[in-house]
Amino acid sequence: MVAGKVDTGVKDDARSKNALKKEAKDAAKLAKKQAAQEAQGKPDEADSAEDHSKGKYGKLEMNASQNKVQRELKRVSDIDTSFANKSVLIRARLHTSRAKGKQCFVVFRQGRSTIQGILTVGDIVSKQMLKFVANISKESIVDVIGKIQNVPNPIESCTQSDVELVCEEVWIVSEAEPRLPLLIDDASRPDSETGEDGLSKVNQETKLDNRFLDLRTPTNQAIYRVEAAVCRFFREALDKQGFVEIHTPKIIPAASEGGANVFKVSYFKTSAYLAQSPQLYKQMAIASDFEKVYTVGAVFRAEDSNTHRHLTEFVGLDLEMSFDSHYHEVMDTIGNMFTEIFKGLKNNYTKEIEQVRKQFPSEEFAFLEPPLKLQFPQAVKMLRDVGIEMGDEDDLSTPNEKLLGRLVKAKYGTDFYMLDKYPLAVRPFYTMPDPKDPKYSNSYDMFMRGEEILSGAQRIHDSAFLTERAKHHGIDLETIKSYIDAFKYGCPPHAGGGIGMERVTMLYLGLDNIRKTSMFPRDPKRLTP
Amino acid sequence: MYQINRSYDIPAQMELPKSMYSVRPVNGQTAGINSSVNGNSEIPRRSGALSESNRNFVKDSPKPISPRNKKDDKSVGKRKSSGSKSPPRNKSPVIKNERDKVGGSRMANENLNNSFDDAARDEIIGKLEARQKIVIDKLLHLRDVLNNLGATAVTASSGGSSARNEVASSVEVVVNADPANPPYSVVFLTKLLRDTYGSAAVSLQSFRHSSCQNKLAANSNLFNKPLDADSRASKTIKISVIWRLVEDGEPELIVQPSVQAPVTGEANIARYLSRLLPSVYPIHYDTLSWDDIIRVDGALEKAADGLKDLNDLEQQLQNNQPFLCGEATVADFVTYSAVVAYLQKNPKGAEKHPRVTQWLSSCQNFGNF
Repeated sequence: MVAGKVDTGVKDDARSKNALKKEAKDAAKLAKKQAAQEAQGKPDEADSAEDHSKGKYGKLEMNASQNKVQRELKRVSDIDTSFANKSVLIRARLHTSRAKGKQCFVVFRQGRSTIQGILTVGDIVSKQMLKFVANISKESIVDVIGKIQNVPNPIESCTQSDVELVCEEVWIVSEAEPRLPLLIDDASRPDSETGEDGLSKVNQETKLDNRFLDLRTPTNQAIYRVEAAVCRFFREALDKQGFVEIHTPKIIPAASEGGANVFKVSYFKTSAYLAQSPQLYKQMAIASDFEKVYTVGAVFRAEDSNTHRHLTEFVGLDLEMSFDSHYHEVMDTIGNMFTEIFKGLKNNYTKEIEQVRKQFPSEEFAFLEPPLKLQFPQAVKMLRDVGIEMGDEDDLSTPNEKLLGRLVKAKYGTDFYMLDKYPLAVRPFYTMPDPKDPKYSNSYDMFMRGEEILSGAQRIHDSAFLTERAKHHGIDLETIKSYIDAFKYGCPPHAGGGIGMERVTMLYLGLDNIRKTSMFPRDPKRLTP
Repeated sequence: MYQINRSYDIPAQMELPKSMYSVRPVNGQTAGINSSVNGNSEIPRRSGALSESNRNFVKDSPKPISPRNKKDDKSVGKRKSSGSKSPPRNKSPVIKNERDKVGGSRMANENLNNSFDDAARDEIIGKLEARQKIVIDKLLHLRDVLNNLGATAVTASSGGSSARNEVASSVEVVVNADPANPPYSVVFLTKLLRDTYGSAAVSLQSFRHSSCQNKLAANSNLFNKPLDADSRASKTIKISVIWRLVEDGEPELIVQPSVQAPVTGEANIARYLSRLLPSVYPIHYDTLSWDDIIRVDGALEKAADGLKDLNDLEQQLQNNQPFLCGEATVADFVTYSAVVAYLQKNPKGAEKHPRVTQWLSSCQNFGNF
């Protein structure tokens, strides 16, 4: 066994050196050092044939649920000084290990939490055991039994900085291949620390190609918890208001908005399309007396936009609501829903937000309660005041949106605001015109950090008027027949909007790319993994 | 020596609204200081050239009508005769020509003839009428304010006054304020603005900034006066109060951050907001008399420093007037905030100050609290 071990050690070392050369020269150097140390230790080990730690370490047989054992696994995140001198069992990944003479320091990682483990050759740990642990490949999953002890100086590199785990047993549950496509430490390093001082960085494409590893970084662990919370608070806020969650089909017979930007799929003997918006179905639910509905689901856009904020598939948080007298009722409902999401995140996800900020620094997201509501002409005036030339009925260009976001932030101190009364000319045909000024419409966009995250409007609920507006836009009535038919048998006045979940998460956290908030992003150039 | 050609100049002795910081014309006239300075500077120059008997007249009469003056100016030096420009009854071309030679002055001989006398008188009367109109306007406003005192906010603002005034240009004002130190002057001034321009054109809305978790004052609802739902006003005044932590607890005013630094201090904010009122309005800071300005500024200064006790204020109210300077002024509004802040720390502070108590309720009545 001893000889076998040494062999593996050397082999492992050679293999990992190859792998690491690609990814990180520094890490390779470290591995070299370790190899040198091992080489020194070899003769000693060969001498001491007896291993008093036998049965305290090794590789467990593959778990096929052979036995059901009653035992208590502790969460790394729960372990603190109150566990001092207690024995614990944890299951975690071996994040890093560093052997030095008769000692070995190991960092165990579980989710976003890390704890330092220590092995010292002595009564409990044999030299062989130390070597075994030092050679476990990074990212392997291990079961560790040990005693918690307080440390005199906080361990800055671990989340559980006040304690360390004195390992007594170490078992490999699932071994990682020693050759990692990327190192978790490299992938979770802030940009500010890479480059000049030589620390390596993993670029976005490599991260996305190896998403299953990249997602293990504490930052990603935090991002997707925040994203889950966005969804949860969206549901909670609307449930409280008496909304009903509905599910709409993703395979649709015809393109709802004219035919552009839809994916065509074969459907038995004919073809179908992927839904680019659940809007028609939301509205049909309203026409069917559901009054207030929302839906969470995939939305597909066949837009060849390779930007930081476009995906071809994303999660839409859509809502539609009938109202009593004025579409502002709906706007206020949506605005308050956002406030609840922001407050929920701020109050319950501080740790996660902090974690993300460590790698991707950003200013705290600021908002007003109730949310700020501006009118389109007001926005145009603000832009003109700083020298932007634009017509009354022009849509906001992306740079102007950004600029307006900065102006609003400077004046009102908010990263979130609603812009009401868009020019009718730049909105779809089903948008209700403003009864006071036909140039404008009862429509609104909402912005976070100067980027649009929601677009919505009061919809025309009268089939005759809808037909008229469609003709005015030159739309072939045949293509939207089913849409218009939905309003022929009476429909309450209603308004709604659709939100991009990834965008909300990205902008709340102040990230620069929507691929950071889509777990497995789909864009015109990426269909894998 | 130069002279600004101004057809609308006013004789020195005519009394004008005294204003220290006149910025804009009051009903098309330049306000007090400028015109009187001009008038005075003319006198010595003229009197030197004129006979004693004419002096008084010159003092009383306005300076020559400018367009003619200008023409004369140009003709000087080119040719001596100004006869073609002068009215037929030109009495002393010699004098004129001499003056032209000596000083190059544009002293116009029209000053001396009788026909101009009439014209000048007409002009003065016209100006007096204009001034009278201002006074009457002010009185009408005062009447409106008084009428509105007892009435509810809605009826008061939808009453006659809203129809008369229109907001000159849209403005969105942001006031950042500490919830522990609410700037009540904003509420008073919003009320006056709404009385003046109508509740369809003036709104006050308050927001809580996400960085501020402090409790809002119980009456923070005073800071919410939305526009009428069916408002069709194209030009509006929108005031937003944002509750957030501000430096030293001092409120700050932002209108256009790209060109201004935040204006701090409630007194300065109140001055600004008062200037959004029509310039004939008594509360408008620029319509205060010189006497009042110094009293108001003094009171503003005192309020800005925060009150240590109410003795001074009690003393100041000894004259049995309902407000600090007789009529309500911005000083009352800002002092109100300071007194409320003081009473928050000293809940029984007003007990021995009956006049302050009375003044507080006058203020509350005034502001429809």
